[in-house]
Amino acid sequence: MFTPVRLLVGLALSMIALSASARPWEKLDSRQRDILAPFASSWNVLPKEEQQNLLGIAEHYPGLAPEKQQRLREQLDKWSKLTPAQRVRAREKFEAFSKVPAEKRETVKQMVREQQANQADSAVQPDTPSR
Amino acid sequence: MNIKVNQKEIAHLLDRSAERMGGATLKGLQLARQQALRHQRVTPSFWRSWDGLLFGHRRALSWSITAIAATLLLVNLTVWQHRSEHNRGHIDIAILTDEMPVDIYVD
Repeated sequence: MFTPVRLLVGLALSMIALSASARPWEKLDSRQRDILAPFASSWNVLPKEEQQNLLGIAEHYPGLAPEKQQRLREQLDKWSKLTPAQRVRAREKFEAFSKVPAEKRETVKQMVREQQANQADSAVQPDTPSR
Repeated sequence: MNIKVNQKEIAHLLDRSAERMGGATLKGLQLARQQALRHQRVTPSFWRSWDGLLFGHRRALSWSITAIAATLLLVNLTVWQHRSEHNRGHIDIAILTDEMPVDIYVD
């Protein structure tokens, strides 16, 4: 067969193989498994793109500030309970929310903080027995 | 003088003129022709001179162009896919490290 054509076909095939590679949970290193622990049971059935995303998160994790690391671990647990479709929707909403003017965004954040504070208060307060 | 002649007549006239030519004239013309042929410069075609790659075959050329186009398309697709994955990864980190709980982005 024609050499340059063979070369190009080989290149194309290797690129397809490279882009299609998915990694089983067992092949992740201990650090990746530690960060992505909430996904341990679902990892092997996750779409390849989701796996890539999560591996990207694990890669960036050491560079985050300690409080961000803590926050990420908390949120990752909730994130793992969402379906891929819900995650797609969440990304869309987050992006839309990022485009909202800063003051409006801050107002919404303030409302959420207040709501969380109220929920925390009601969780701490023991139920008053009815007499 | 206005004589109209067609192509056939012209060819016939030329043949007759050639037949009437003397041996010396014909020999001279033949020599001139051979000399011109010897000095003729044959320009090799670009693709033919690009030895080793295309061998002067049109089929090979079209195959090469198709293969290059397909590879470029594939490279483009892979780069685009990689970029969108990279962007999505950054969005995920932003969502997960944001003070807003992820629940509020879920329907």
